[in-house]
Amino acid sequence: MLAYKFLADGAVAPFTGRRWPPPGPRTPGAWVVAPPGDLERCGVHACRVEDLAYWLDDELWLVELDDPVVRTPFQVVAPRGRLLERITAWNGASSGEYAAACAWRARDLVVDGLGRAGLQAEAAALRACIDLPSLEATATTLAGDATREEPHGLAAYAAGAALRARQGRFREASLQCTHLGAALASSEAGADQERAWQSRWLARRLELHEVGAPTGREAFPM
Amino acid sequence: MSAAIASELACRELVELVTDYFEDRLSLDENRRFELHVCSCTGCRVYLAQMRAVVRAAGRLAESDLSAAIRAELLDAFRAWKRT
Amino acid sequence: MVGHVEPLLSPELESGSSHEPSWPHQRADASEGLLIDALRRGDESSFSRLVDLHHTSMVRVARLYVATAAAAEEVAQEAWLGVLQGLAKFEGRCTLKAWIFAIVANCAKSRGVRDRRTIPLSSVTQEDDGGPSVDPERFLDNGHPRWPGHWSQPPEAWDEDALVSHETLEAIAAAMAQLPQMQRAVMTMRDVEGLGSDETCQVLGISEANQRVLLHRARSKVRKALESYLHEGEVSP
Repeated sequence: MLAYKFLADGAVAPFTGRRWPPPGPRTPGAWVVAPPGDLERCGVHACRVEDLAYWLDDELWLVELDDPVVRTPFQVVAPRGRLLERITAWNGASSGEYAAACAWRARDLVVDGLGRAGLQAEAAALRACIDLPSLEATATTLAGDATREEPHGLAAYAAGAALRARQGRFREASLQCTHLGAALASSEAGADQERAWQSRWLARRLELHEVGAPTGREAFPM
Repeated sequence: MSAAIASELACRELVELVTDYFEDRLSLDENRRFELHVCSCTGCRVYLAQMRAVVRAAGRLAESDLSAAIRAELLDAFRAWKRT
Repeated sequence: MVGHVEPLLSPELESGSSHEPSWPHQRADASEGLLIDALRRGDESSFSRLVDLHHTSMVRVARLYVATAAAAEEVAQEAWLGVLQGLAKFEGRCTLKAWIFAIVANCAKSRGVRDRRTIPLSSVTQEDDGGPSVDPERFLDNGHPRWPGHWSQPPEAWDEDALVSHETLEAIAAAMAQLPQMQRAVMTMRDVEGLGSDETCQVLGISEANQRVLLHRARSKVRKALESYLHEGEVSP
């Protein structure tokens, strides 16, 4: 089946530092084979569209996985895989857009929260921000020293996301949103919801298609 | 205050797990949390790369610089051993 | 190596069973076997080859146990005799290197006893205070409202080119020389000499868990020293 895979600059696996063989102009990259052992631990990992937000890195690739493909929390795993094509739509520009989108998402979440708490003036002030610097400044002032237990304290996540977005730090900008989601929901489900939103954003922006369902054995997470 | 997402690793915890990670001694679940954190944290991504670099660089210390004199001494010892 | 064709691609490129950055799993291989057979027949060129492959490593290992470079050289030379004498019994269930290192360790320890100047490789608990691998000030404290335990001063990416320079390697060697003895021993075996975990434990006579703790402390200290060096240009004492 086809899947997506994030790699560091130069098609380097982010955890092992090893380089993946790149595809040629008309040929897929060479197969990378997992060593023997438990597939979930040793296998080639990749992600489906809904998993994208968890695995961000410099480069995004379309990969082909060989059967049997196993599903695990946030990933799919296969005994071997190969690079097919670099998704060039994911680059410095689009990752910057993504970071900004996360900052505005954080803003919207906080505005909702403030509205529900009856803090209309505060909500309006945040809603009125039209660029990242003003979002950062307004949200910072609004948050003050408040903790995340207090509705205006949550604005600190929007400020944090706006700052990271201005710095082009997409990992951290999206993490601010993820934590904000958890804080608003008072549960980790809120975090997963934000990751889902992020993955949908990425899929739309990068025009990614849902890849084929895994065949063969499926491992369901506990 | 505790973190908003209890199951996530904090950076301070991650740096203590790096060797266990390299040695493949983390459970599947811990492994996944480790990798998820690295993907969402530039600092830890850099730290992991630094630890990898330390190991790689240490490997380059294994240079082999054998003097002719020592090689000759050892060869003599070998010949002496053969005669016994 | 005789009869060994390097595969075009490492089959363990995306290895979940080993996140190890550099050392592939080792075991006695066919080419070593040929060398040993030739050696048993008294072939001099095989012995020379073996010396080229292993002598300087043996000196490094000996140096973990004895006080001077000269003593380490003597121990290594003595160990070769042990290797030749023991050759008939070597079964190839571990790498030749690990087997040789064990002989070196034994020679070094006997010599230490003879000279009454052993530096015993002490147990883990005597090594250091076991504090955190990174200065706690580099992280936000537990009182932080959103990011307790996250970096407050994250590390900066190193320039890969700087890492291959001779000066940097010297800085790493210097940092390793300052490690407590057992940490130095484990990191030398694992990362400098490329021994596997099991073999290192066998040579040093320690458990896998102990070995891992020592390796972690050693690598963390060296990383910290390297960070200072690259940042400030010196290895601090």
